[in-house]
Amino acid sequence: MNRLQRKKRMDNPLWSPFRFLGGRDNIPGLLACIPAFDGFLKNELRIVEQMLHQRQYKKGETVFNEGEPGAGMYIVKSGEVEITRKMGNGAELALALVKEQGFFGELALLDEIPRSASARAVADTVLFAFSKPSLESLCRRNPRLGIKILSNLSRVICKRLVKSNDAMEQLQDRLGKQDGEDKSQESLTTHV
Amino acid sequence: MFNKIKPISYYIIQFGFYGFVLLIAAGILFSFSFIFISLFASAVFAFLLEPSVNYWETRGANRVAVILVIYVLIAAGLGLLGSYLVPPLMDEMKNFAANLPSYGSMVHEMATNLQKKVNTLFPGFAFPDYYPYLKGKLFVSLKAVMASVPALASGVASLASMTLLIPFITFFLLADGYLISKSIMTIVPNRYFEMSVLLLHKIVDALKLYVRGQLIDSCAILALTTVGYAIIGLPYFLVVGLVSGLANLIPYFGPIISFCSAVFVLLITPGMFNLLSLIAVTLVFVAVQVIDGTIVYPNVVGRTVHLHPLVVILGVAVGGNIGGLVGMLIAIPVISICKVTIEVLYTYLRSYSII
Repeated sequence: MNRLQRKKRMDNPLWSPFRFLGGRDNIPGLLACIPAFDGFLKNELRIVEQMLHQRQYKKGETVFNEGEPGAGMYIVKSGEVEITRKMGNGAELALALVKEQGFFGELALLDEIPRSASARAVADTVLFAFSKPSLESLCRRNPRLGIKILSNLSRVICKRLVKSNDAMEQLQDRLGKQDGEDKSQESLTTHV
Repeated sequence: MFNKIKPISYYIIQFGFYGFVLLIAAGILFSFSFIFISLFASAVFAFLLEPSVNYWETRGANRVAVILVIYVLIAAGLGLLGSYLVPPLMDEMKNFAANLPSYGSMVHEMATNLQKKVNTLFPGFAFPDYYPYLKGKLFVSLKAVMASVPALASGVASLASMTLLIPFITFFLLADGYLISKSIMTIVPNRYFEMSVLLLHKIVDALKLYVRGQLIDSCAILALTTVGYAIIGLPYFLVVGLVSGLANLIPYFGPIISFCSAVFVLLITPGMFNLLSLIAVTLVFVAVQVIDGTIVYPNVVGRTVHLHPLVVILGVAVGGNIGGLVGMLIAIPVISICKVTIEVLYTYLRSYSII
């Protein structure tokens, strides 16, 4: 049995106590790159690792659809995931392309609000899902780690809020300027 | 091109494979029903012990060590309880068994008196004599019990294996419960992964709340009734308390069974059946129901599973028909668990536009 076959057999979590037989991925290393787990020690990342669901998606397979209740956050181990949103006219707008070591869907960890966009694998992809029930269980069993994740997530959301406020301000400025230009153009025309 | 349509043979093979696995699992569960009962009992125990394990784990203790300490404490508690509670309970049982013939003759005497009274009131009315008939029935029942002794012995053997099996399964459910849910998720197709994660979590949470709530409520009823009847000096107060605690699992009828058992004890105890003792029993019963209804139940049973009285009556009848007295007792909890599961399933399948 080669290493790959052995690893496949070890994919079932019930075999995890015997994981040493099949080698070990550097999952804590991957988790350390995710802002939600910022400041976590290696043994703390190992606790989070136990709660992850590993999922394999074929090219073109849907991870989740817009409007469905969200179950949690995904971390890309390998492959690529495209985040899209349906526009009013039915066309799909590509919002982002999440690559290896990237993450998406983190808002679902805070609330079961419907997904604001769809996610689809654009290549054969391996994802780690960290679900809301897992976060709740972690908060119950290890509140210190739970608080750490929640404060990291709020930091991520705060940064995004500041960014979107700036973008809105810039847009307003641009619209104001355009409005001013239009008015001056209008007055010039009436004078003439 | 995304989302390629798979050939029908793919679905047939998948369906066949999972059907085969389910068939084998069902076969094993049916042939070794004690495994199923052990799994069910272990899940109930795990639901009950989980909050304590989580509490100590939160305070930095090792989960496995906490479970072992709790096991030792439970064993010690059961030992103490056994040494203090079993002798008086056995005494009560022995006493009851010894007094049984006198209770029989007392009932006969009461029936004869009643017959005389009826005959004086309605001279032409022939009152049937039920005593020989009932005595005959009792003899047949006793013969049936004696005949079922070998079956009872095998029952004791499976009970012993269950007693060994349940703590083991409970231990692994408490220590590695999350691995089991993760393992279940590996066989779920990607399309239904998110829905299954949420569904499993919601169903297990709702069941935990229900089982914990009902068992704590029943224990509270058992303790309150036992203490209340002990204070007023009702004989067999331990047995009546035990019956009340168990009957509490049946909504609406539980309190009636509890009250009737106390009145029955008053009836069969010579010199106890008078207005004063009846008032005392009623007062204890009302006090227990008020304390349970205002303090225990609202705080302990987080989510009330409301069942219509008709459903309760039908459930108890069907349960009694299938599993006798035990069936009657567990029918309502099983129906409530099914109701909770169906409610959660319906809500989530709707939100995922599956139904």
